[in-house]
Amino acid sequence: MPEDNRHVQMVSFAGYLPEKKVDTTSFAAPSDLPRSLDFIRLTGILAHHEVSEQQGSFELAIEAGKKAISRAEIDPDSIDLVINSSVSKMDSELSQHLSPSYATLIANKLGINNAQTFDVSNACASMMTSLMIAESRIRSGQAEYALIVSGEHITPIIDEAKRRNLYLHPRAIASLTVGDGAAAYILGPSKEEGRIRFSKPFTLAQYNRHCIGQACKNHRGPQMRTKARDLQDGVLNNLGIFLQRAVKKMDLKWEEIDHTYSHPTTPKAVKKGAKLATDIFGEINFLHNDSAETANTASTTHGVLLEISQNRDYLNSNETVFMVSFGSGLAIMAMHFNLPEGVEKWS
Amino acid sequence: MVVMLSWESKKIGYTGLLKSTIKLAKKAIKSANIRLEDIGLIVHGGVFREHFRTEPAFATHIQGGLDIHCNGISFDSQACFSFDVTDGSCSPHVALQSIADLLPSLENKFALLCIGDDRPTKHCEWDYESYCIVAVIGQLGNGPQLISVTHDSSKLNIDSTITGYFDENIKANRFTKSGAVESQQTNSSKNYFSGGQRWLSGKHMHEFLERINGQNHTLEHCIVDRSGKSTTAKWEF
Repeated sequence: MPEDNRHVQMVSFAGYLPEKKVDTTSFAAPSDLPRSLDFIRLTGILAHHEVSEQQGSFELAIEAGKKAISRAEIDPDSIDLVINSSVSKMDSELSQHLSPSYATLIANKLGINNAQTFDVSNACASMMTSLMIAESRIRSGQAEYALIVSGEHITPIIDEAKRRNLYLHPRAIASLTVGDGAAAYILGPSKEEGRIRFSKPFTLAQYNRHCIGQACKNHRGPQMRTKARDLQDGVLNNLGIFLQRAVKKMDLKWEEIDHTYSHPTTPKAVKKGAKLATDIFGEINFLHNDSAETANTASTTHGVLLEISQNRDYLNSNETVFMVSFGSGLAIMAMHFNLPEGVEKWS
Repeated sequence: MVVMLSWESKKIGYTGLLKSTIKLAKKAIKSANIRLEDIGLIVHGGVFREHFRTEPAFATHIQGGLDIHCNGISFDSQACFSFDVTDGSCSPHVALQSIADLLPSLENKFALLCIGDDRPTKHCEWDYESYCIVAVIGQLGNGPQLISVTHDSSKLNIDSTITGYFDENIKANRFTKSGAVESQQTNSSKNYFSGGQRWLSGKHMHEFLERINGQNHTLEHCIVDRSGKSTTAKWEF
């Protein structure tokens, strides 16, 4: 049975971006797109990162996982739950890992020998869904430390989209908004209540056909088809009430939230969401809308943005973070947590 | 942990998992004597999806097919949350655990456990028996009670994997299996059941459900994945 004073905290997090950076102008200049679309003006995405020849989702996840474990200053063997949240699970040859769980392979590589391992799949909301499961598992005393990890090798969908005539396949255009990246979080026990809180999670399944990712039928690698505008409308039409319900359920004071992160489908979309939130609650203290040079790295976006903030010395011990997540399907959820002690000293 | 209030299972063909799941879900919900809108969580467990689909979660299609709280959020609307879990053939136990983890914190106190696989493409060799399983899970009530789920990775062969790939020779997507797999036979006694190591999740759960009628003690259900890792769910009746 759980102890009454057993709660959960964020022990560490890490984001990782592969070195290779690709400018948006190199593949989505107005001359490349239907009706001379100004993709950069439309999305705010200037660049993204791509894996090297030897990297895939697994190698990305390992980089983030190692960094998170090192920052947590714990023995890998003290981790007894590993959840992988990667949607792509794609190697450098564009093959898709299916079984056993990717988490099993990741734990093995990281020297985590005694953990339960499994994968959670909920599109771009996979990591937050996994964090929610891990938080419950630790709070109930069934786990001590949990590693939630994801590596997303998704830029092959850019190549797939580029092979298409985008006049005839306008739903492939959203595929140009992605980048590769990885993230990892470690959760552990705490005696202090409220260091992690979750909103009520919603799946608005009326949108479950608006973004479909699967293997390309006649070519190696994946493809994605998105009704981008309809999906964005689905988010924006529900965001205001969702945020009000989330803030109330989590018992938050908007003005006391230090840092806010939203899943960045594009920086422009985040601005629209922020405007909506500001109209309801007032100014956002610090909106970290920094995906202009990382693009949308799927499940890993929040971890990647947190890493950027940490590297820029924006984050301090015990400050509060509010993260909003959206995933195809359409999943909408949020979490609030206190930054780990010593976050400003991490290398 | 949680109680299985009702359940349905059915052998299916190569494809058609979604249609079967929706049909069985409606029957299971009726048997549990609850309403569709009482469902607050849908978790699907499996390995193979049509066209190797990665997003959105299969569970969102189940939710959409059942039309459970699919539309906009209002100040007093109820919610249903859907996602998938996977860990080879052990997926049903992982799904059950995930339901047990999240159900207490949700407003609606019933969940759907959905298990099954589709043959990804017609080019995939498919020597599996596919079953579709749906169970209504609650925190309280009459039915088999899940007491615990344990895991064991001591016999894991990390090289026993299944991978989807594009076959350049036939220009189509298939999957390949690697690594040696022990041929484990079914092991069944009054209080213990373990199925074959080459079974899919659905068959593991189907055979387990076939054995629970008339049980009045405990039953340990062990699933050994082809990779060697295993999970054991302990049920009390």
